[in-house]
Amino acid sequence: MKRVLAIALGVLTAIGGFVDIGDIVANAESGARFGLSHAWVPLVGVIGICAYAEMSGRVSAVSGRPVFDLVRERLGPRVALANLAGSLLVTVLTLGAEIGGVGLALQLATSVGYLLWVPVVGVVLWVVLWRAKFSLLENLFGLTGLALVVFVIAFLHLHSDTGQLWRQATHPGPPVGEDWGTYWFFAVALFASAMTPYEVFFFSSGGVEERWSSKDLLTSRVNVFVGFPLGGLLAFALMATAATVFHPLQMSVDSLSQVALPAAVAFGKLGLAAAILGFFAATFGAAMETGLSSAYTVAQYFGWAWGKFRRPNGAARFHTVLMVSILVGVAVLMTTIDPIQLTEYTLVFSAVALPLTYLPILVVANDSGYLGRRVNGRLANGFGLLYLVIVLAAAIAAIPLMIVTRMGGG
Amino acid sequence: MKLIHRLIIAATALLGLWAGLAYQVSQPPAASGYARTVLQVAASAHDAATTGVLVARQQLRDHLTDAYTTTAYDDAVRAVAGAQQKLATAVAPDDASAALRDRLVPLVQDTVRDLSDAAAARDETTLGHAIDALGRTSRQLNDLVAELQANSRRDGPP
Repeated sequence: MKRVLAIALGVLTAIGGFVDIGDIVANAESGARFGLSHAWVPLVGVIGICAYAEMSGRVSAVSGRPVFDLVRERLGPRVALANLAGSLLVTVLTLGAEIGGVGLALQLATSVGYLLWVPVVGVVLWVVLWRAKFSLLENLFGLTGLALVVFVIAFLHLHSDTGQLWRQATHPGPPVGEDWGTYWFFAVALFASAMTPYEVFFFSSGGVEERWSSKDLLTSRVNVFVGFPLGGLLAFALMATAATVFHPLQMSVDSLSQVALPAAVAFGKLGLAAAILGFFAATFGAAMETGLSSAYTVAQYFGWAWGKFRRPNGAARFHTVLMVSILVGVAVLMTTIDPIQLTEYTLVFSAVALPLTYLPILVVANDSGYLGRRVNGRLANGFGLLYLVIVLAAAIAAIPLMIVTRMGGG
Repeated sequence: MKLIHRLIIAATALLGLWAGLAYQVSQPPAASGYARTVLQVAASAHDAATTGVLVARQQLRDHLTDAYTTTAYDDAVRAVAGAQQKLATAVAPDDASAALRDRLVPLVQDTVRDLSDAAAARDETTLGHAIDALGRTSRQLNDLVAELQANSRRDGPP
């Protein structure tokens, strides 16, 4: 019974913890401008992240070591350094975007400008990551993030033109007034938002933090194959509600206040409160994950002591990297760059860094020296290779599409 | 290849990139480029006005908190202000472009005024008037955006 409860808690946490500022922004923008014609992208992205998160979880559970640690050992310091450089840059920028997202959520709740919140959020984030236990952080914000389910219910409540939405979803392509370049730019951004590199590093290091062993493979797989798709459903609901409320008015969405509006239209102040709470939990939870992921990757690359399971003075360099990452994230925002714009840039760079993250994972997951008989089977390798081709295509296309479409401006 | 050769190649490539960028930004604006800027500004103003309508309607239904309402109007006004600034810094390359600008500027100004009226409204009647005004401006901007998009499709991409 205790094990079932632990698995259920893990699934709920995975659902609530799946969505971050990238998912919120990319799905809402896409829904407003393109209706549901990008509906296939989150589906493709969720299958991809499930395939690679399963590999990462299996590697951690069987070997007792995180993926990044093994990447350096298996592929050597040079390849691991390329992996580290790409993913760290993207993860620290994402951390900045998440902190900005927390600031924006607090602004919606208080009307105090987000820039005034940013340093406060930075300090609170650092204190929480210093003091609180890993499981508490994961469960608290994962479960609170479930408040975003308000968008699923709102979609059902808004009496959408389902025929029109179905037509958009089954006929992918740009609507009148948009072009194919912009359509593909948003497709790449949505795909990158679902497959953000920090997610697999966090999942794999989190498995070690929670002392997973081969016995926990079931927990890991249930989290991935049930929790992640349901989390993806929350992100998709943001697209669907934006497609219902904004797309018929031929308008685009470029602020968090607009993203929250469909929940208010459907359920008034209660819906609005749930949406703001969901945004806060999703972005704060993701800020913790990205902060920890930055420190995990650096510490694991250099072979330092790492992890929340150690006392801070036993992993001083790990906590220093964590603190510096938060400072950099805050500093980026204090340049007054719009957090939504920062998120858009982060998604593009994330798309570029995807192959650097996922190729090494595929290699390690096929190494019987670490995994014994738990190496990838044909199905896992089939999906792994297919997604490697897709992430490579997204990585090559991301920058040219960004330039040609002027960041999706058309 | 020696390190010095690599450095020379890298420096030459960087210099070429920099020169290309400098040439690009120092070019006088083409009419098509200006039309694209006008289209983006009109679309931003339209989005802000439509958001204003949506927010004000929910306000009438008592569906929003004060803090949210303040933020939503602030966001909309900031978006229009950014668009206005973009338009102000672009120089119209010919008379046709200037005529286009002269059609857009009053609509953008109306959007800012209507949004401010909605944000400042203290009773339902004033808010109702602000909704009507924002709706009118939004429709006019929508028509302009559609016209500019049609022109863009006819003339081809800039």
